[in-house]
Amino acid sequence: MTIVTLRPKLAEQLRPEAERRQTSIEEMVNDWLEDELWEQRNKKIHEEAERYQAMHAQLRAQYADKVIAMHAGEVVDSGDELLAVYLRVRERFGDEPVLITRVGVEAIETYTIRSPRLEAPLP
Amino acid sequence: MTTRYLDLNYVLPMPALTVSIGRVGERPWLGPIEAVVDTGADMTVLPLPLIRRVKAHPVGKGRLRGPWGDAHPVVFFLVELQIQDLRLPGTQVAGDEAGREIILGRNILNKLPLFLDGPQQQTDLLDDATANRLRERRKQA
Repeated sequence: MTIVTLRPKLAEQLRPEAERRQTSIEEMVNDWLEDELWEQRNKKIHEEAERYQAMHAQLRAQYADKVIAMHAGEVVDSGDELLAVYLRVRERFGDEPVLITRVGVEAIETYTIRSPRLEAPLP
Repeated sequence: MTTRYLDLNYVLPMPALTVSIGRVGERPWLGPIEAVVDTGADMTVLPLPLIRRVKAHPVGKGRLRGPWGDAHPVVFFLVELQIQDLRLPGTQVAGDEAGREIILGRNILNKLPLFLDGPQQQTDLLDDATANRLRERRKQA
């Protein structure tokens, strides 16, 4: 465990929020930091997706319909099954954001939700 | 296992199942939560706050298109799902920033033997024996 000391003024500001949430300052700050890291990983996936889009034609030529894992613009793994590639990638890269996708016809796959909903009762 | 259709917030009762969510390789601990059964959806969609709570890893980017062609960018995640007693490891889902409901799409529904009992407003996830009996009956018909 790493001990981080909060500035006293900051700790005082956090106390009422922790009480409102019925948790400790330590728990709350840990949750916030985890959320922040998760958000950062999401942002990096967008950047990786842009690199993937730019390289899609050449990747399609080499890996058509295979699953690839891309990290910093490099293909770091490939295979037939998404879950198998994912597990190998997690083993190697931990929580680092790695794009894992099947190299389909389109660089960005589109899925359809065909179910319109009524907002008012039927007449 | 049977789940009652949802009738709050829907003009007509909606078939539903209960799901629990977790990170891949871990026990799905978040739930059970009611999820709508939507055979018109290509892909399963989860509200982003639920995905954030289990800290699922993002794996890619795509688009979701509505019935009239409007498309929205989404991030895909890999999660561990449990639908009633059935565990679905490494399921790809789309994260929805605005939505508040879980939509079970055909990437999951096509793996399940389901009985939608409209008149009784119950969704049943059939056990193997019942599903096999129905399959046999279909062969004989």
